[in-house]
Amino acid sequence: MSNNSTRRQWIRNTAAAVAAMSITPSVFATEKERYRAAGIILLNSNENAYGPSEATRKAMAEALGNSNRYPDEQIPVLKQQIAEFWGVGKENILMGAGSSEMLGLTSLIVSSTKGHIIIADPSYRVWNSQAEAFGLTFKRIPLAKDKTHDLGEMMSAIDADTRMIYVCNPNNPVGTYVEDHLLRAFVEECSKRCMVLVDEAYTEFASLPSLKDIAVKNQNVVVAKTFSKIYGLAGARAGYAIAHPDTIKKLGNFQPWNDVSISVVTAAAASAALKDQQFVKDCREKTKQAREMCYDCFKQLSLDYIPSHTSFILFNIDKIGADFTQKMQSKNIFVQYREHFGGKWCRVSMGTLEEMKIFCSALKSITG
Amino acid sequence: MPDNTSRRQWLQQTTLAALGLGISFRSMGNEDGLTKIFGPGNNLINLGANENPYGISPKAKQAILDMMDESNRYQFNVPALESFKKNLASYYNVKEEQILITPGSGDGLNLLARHFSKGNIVTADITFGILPNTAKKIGAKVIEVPLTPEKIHDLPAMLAAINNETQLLYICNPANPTSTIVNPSVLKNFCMEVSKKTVVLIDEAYLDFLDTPDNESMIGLIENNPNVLVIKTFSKIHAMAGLRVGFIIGHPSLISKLQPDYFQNSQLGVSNLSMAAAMASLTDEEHKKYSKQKNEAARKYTMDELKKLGIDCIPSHTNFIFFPVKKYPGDYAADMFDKHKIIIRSNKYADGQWARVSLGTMDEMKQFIKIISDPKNQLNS
Repeated sequence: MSNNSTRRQWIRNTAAAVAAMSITPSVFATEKERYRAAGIILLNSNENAYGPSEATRKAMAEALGNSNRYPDEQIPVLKQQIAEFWGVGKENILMGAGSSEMLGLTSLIVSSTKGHIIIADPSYRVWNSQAEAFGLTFKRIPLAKDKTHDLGEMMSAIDADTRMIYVCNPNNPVGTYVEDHLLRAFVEECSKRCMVLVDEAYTEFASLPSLKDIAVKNQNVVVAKTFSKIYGLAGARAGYAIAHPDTIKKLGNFQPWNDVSISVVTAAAASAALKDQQFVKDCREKTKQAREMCYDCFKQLSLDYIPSHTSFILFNIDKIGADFTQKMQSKNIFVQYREHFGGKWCRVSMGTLEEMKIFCSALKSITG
Repeated sequence: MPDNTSRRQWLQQTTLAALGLGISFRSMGNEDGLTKIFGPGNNLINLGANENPYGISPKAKQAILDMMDESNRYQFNVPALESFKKNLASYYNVKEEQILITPGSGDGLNLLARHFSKGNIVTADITFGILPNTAKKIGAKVIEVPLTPEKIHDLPAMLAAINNETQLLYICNPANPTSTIVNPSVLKNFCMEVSKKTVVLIDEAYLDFLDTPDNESMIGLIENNPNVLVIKTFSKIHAMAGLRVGFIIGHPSLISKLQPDYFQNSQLGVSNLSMAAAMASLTDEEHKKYSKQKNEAARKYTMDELKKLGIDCIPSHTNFIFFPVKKYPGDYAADMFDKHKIIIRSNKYADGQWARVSLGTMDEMKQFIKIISDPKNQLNS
């Protein structure tokens, strides 16, 4: 789907521009519409349709000359930058190839004794199979009526076999979040009894504060962050943990040497992306507009949805049926089918505003 | 030039690493703990990490540029990347389910050390450090069998070291940091013998620097033998150390057990850009040949010059040279860095201090030789 002549032309232009080290924003702007030109709209993986930013692409193009050298020079610089961004120490950060690596590593360090992990149902599950392979099981606690984490029930579920509590806030796939002060109290309390892993993949969309200040002081709290979402670098694989230095050391013991799974090109991308906070702001704003456009559409069609504070929305498709995602796919639109709360749902990621217009009209034609 | 602070830091870290805590550079092949400060303007010559100084293939560069825009997409949403594993499999004549892709072979070695940590692991002393060091860090027993006096793997002794608890035997061929090789037919027989008792892992990071027949891979043994593993990397001949791509090849039965034990989510640890570069580089035989020939010239020059200086280096088969600095009074690598801005590795072993110098470009090697030729540098062994 990506091999059309426009694309090839663009590549030639880009290559020439890069070779001349005179990258102009206009060159990159055209490529953003490539998927749309090819007629494919990916709304299935909570990627940032606007990313990576121009500054980030420029940084990648400039960094690829370092590809033959180990990333030992770039990573400490990136770590320092991240540490300064969050007002924590370098010793509080461990880098990995996406926050998935951090979720895997944290599961690994709590798995030395058999036990379970407490997690909301539904919540982000992709890493669960790794934890299970390490010998851990899951205790899944249904969300509260308002579709937020039921912190009370999660805390009551802790027993002697609890190794970890996982909180994805805002929560994937529902898009809700628990208030900062409630989560803080919960994390402080639970961390007296087990590891608490806070997944902050979507905080930027909700402008939520990070729990990094608790994490750096408390050996039982790990905050996982990613460049995959608002920073638009899902495929570049960069994420990190913020935690107490002793916890970072424990996590790092399971890496071949610390921070090494990030490529030099990705390190340059992450560094540029973090600096480009205007892009973050723009993406947050456009994502909000996209959500509102979808809400209007859902309302018109009388489809239930869960108001979201993220880059995706979970909406009910009981009326449409389980074959909804196939119907969308036949229109080149990719979304996720989910079964939650005893019903059928679709999780749709927010694409560009233009993509969401196309999504909405496709939804209307399928429903109507 | 590094300022004093960063130089101090580097020395401190080197010293810390040398002192040990299990992550020493006792095996100099391990890259842990050694911060390299060779940024633009530092005017340093980096001959420390066995990197390929000639850079990635132009095709790989183009592939990165082409893939840059897809860095916001997960790899499963990028059709061009779907065939990565398939391409690897067909290039190495194995099936896709025989491959586990990791961000660098280091991640694979780390995984294997963990996976086989319930018993002991047999390695050479000295060898590439990641696997034994990870094993030690997590409390597994490592049986280290000394190399022969010629710094070659002592295969009979390693075979004899296997006991009932042994879960894995690790051979890096060509060896790191010593740069020696084992004859492939001898190694094949050895692998078959070992595999009757335990899993044997051959690290072929530097195999591409060899000529026929020495460059025969042990991959051919795997199809009929679930106890043979091979690990490979794009960091060396492909010059992609910074892009982090490596892979394990094994019997499907073993690969399917390794995959769930991995803290990474399948091959999702590898960046789209790196995968695109690896796909382009995999079949760029021209570029590989170019790197290999350039390396051979630099190697011949350096070995000849060392010989002229009376430095009795171990004959190199790779892109690095191991040589004795037994009479050198101090920390050789630290002084080379501090006084001459050249990054190499050195360490004290039972038979004295040795150094490993990676082969840079011909110009870099000439500078290196010029420095160590100076009698006042007291480098003669």
